Amino acid sequence: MNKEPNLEELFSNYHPTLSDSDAFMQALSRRLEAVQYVERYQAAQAARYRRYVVIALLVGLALGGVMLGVILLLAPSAQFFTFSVQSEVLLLIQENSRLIALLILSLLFSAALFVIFRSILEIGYFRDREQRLSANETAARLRAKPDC
Amino acid sequence: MNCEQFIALVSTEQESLRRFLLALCVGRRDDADDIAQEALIKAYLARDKIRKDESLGAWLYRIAYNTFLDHQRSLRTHAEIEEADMLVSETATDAGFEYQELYHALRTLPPKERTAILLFYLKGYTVREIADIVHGTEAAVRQQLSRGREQLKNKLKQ
Repeated sequence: MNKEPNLEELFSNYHPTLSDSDAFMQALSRRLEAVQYVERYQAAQAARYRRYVVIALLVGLALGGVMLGVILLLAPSAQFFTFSVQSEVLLLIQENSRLIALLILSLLFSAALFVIFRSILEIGYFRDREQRLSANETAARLRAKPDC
Repeated sequence: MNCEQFIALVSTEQESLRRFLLALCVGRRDDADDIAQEALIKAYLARDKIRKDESLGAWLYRIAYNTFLDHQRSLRTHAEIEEADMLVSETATDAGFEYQELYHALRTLPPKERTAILLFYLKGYTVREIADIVHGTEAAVRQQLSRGREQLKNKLKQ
């Protein structure tokens, strides 16, 4: 596409006075520092969450292994609970008492792990939010006075 | 790319970028500088996304153009844009209002046409490069350039 000579000349003569470049770059540097701070904070937070997940996984595996070991160590005929009343349903439960106990214990451990893990995350979240609010205040101050 | 490297890289481009944004903002220097700062922060955050086959300049202009559009959208009503445009004569501080005529003519162009004209005539980008920067087709950019050029010529003749 050809250029219009008049417009080309008009724009080639366009050299407006800009605000001070040093001040502009200093303001940019300060804002980038604030951005870097947030980036570092986010990276640390992600690393912390990864650590929590690994710990919860390891604890879960260990407890699962212990429970499985306990169940396997018991005599095959041993029943966790018995009923004095004779009923087909109760008899079925009694015969599968080991499996049912394992299931209930697994659910309890899972729930306990979930609650512990969530509590840790919530504590971390509130602590981080406090830090984030502080970082936002700093960034707002920098925005308000970029040259200070 | 760390912060120091990024600053070193953009320090050579920032004046050119600000000049482009000043024309795009029809002389509103505060807006142009704010958009430039915001665009450079966005560029820093997206520094790992720059394509290997892309020049830093074109990449920065794309981000600046998108930031400019966001800024335009943030001026909620057309009336506010009009009002802001009317401030040109009060806030533009170019020596002796040297470019008032140009700004006045550019103000009549829609943002897309204004961008195409500025990238073509001020920055010297090709139609293809402009299409890449504004995420448009070459045909659309040609049309914007043609329309913008006619409008600009007519306005400058008056």
